[in-house]
Amino acid sequence: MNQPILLAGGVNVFKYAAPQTFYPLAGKLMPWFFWTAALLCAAGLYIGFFVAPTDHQQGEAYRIIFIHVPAAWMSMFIYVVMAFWAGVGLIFNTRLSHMMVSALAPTGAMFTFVALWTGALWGKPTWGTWWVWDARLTSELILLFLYFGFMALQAGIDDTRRADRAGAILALVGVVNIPIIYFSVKWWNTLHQGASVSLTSAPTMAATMLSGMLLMALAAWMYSIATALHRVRSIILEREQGAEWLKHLPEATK
Amino acid sequence: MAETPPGGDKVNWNSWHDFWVMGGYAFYVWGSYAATLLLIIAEIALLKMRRLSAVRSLRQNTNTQVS
Repeated sequence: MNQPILLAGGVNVFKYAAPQTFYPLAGKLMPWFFWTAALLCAAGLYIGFFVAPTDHQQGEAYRIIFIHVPAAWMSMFIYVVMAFWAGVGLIFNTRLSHMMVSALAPTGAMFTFVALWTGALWGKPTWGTWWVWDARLTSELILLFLYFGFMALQAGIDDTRRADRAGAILALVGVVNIPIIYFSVKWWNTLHQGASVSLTSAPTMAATMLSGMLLMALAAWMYSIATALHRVRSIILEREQGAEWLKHLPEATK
Repeated sequence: MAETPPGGDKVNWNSWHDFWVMGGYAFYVWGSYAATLLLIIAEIALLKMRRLSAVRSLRQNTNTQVS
């Protein structure tokens, strides 16, 4: 980078691409995201259980929606963000981008598992089955395997640079699965219902249900940022071992 | 199940017992929420452990080089 890219305010974007500058910044931001997540989650659960009415078709079983849909959204979104940083890492050869990809994967896997688990527990009372091999469910299961595959691949290669490149390629190739998951309910005839919320039409659910769900989705978003920042800080410490700046950190000398 | 007035003033649960029974779907609803809570607790615990071991090896490295 001979010509640093400057934002309107004259901030050098690449300044924060250095682990050395990003590490303290992430440490400062992380608690804010965590506590915002906790507050949003409390508000979302309150609306979800005490304000949103009983569903006239599904009774109280529908209240699983307040974790199922946010977790499913997050599982897909985190993968897209991983693929984005993987691409940035491959093109610009920035270490921090690759670290970000690794930091996001476990949280993405967690949300994918939550989406599948809550889906099974929702499917049983409403469809009469825990699982069907339909397009939506199968492609979401493939997403879980992509996360596991990414983590196994990275853990299995000792050389960090090679592990990063291999992981980044897997993340980029796997991203084709995301539109498949998202549009599966339109492209194929599935047991899974279509989207209740879309950008092009009015939501097909009560306003209180929707607001509870959106609050939970925002909470999941903030939680993911907090965990990714926390994890990337550990990854920076692990990978930058021996770097001079690490020795001047307060946590190194205490 | 009582009718919901347009204002949405209906109380969802008449008692805490009602709340926990969840209209007969307690297993499915609480099974979902409990598993999610456990996973979040586990993830935070793993994050803390990873941080602790990273900081510990950082201190070891720094101390061995100083002395």
